[in-house]
Amino acid sequence: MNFYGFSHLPKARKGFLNRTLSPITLFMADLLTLTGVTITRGRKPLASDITCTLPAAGLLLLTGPNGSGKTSLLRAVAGLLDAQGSITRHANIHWLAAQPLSPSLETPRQYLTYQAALMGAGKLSWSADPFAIARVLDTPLNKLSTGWRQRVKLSRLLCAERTLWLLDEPTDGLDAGAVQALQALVKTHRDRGGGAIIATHDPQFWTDAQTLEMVVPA
Amino acid sequence: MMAVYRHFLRRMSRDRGLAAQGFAFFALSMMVCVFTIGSEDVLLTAILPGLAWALLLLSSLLGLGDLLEGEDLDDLILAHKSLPGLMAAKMAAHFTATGFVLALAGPLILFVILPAASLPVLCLWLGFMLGALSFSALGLLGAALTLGSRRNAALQALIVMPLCVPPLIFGAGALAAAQLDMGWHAPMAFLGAFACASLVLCPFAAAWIVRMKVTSS
Repeated sequence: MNFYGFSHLPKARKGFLNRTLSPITLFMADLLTLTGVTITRGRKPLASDITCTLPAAGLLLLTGPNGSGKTSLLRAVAGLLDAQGSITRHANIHWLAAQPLSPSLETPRQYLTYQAALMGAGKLSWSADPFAIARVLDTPLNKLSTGWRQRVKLSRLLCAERTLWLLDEPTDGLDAGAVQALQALVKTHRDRGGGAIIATHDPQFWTDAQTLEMVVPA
Repeated sequence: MMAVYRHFLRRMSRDRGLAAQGFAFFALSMMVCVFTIGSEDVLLTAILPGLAWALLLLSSLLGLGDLLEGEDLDDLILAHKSLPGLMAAKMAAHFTATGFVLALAGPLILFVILPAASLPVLCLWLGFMLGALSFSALGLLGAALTLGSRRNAALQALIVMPLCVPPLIFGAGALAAAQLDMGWHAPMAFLGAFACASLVLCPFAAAWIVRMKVTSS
């Protein structure tokens, strides 16, 4: 990772959308290389022999029916699941699981502060609020609807700067406006040289992307 | 790390009401025991301190069932912080929510019930603090070991109980010795050593187990 000069990047950062060009764009190298990746759950192989490369500013869509291993592949890329074959990451990652936020008594502000602390970003500070969560920041999560909780979860992307975004079903429960906001956010991220892998059942939301069609193993 | 600790503590004490739960369990059990044993001071002085230790252990086991369950393990593993450190924060939050409250309030309850002269104050408080610390550390280990298994609360109790026997014996032993005006420093020193060892080792063991369980499941 050090070779590409990425790993020193994501420490304490102010909100990043309005910052000048980051060093990411200076190294237009591949963000991720998968070679012959096979994932087994139980005895049967889920995804077998997947080889692909994600260039800087690339977007990879994982599509396919339920149970075809989209989430497992994302988890393997994140390093949360053991896989055979070689997974080489040249970038640090943001991982957003598909599970909705649990409706706890915590407020979004507290939740995001915690996430920022986990990601080593120091204090929570915003320069942009694409998902318009400012007015619910102090409403407990259990009082928010599913869609708003999803907006809060997606706002984690702004808590710390990461080069490779791994998003599992990010548009679940979002209204049209929030989907547009997410599209714009991903586009800004890609313009700055970042990449994203998105597991989705709605590939029509994403343009200019490679698609990896997963199949359910026989 | 403070923000992380505060988050864990909020989840435990506010969402699940662990502090109130543990305290209510402890206080109500003590009260019920007084009703059943009778109000003779000699009998109560002999029985209640040991019983308080047993109740401290049982109420420390409360809330272990979902100590590590939930959506946030992925986030912890991918965090830019050391996983043992985060586990130590979990342990500290659990101690604050259960053990710390009881270690402060438990002796007070004993003082209300028993004649004050019969109780060694320092030994009681120090022992409860050290004991509750080791119970939280061992509880974290038990929670990690049973991660992902169904109905894990019973399994946890089964795993954690035997590990908790040494601090229980040393702590209750020190208290009994102090009540009889005998030297209680040796068992207390053993209890302290046990607490230190478990505080240092358990977060590392838990982190190792959690990482292994998550990545291979």
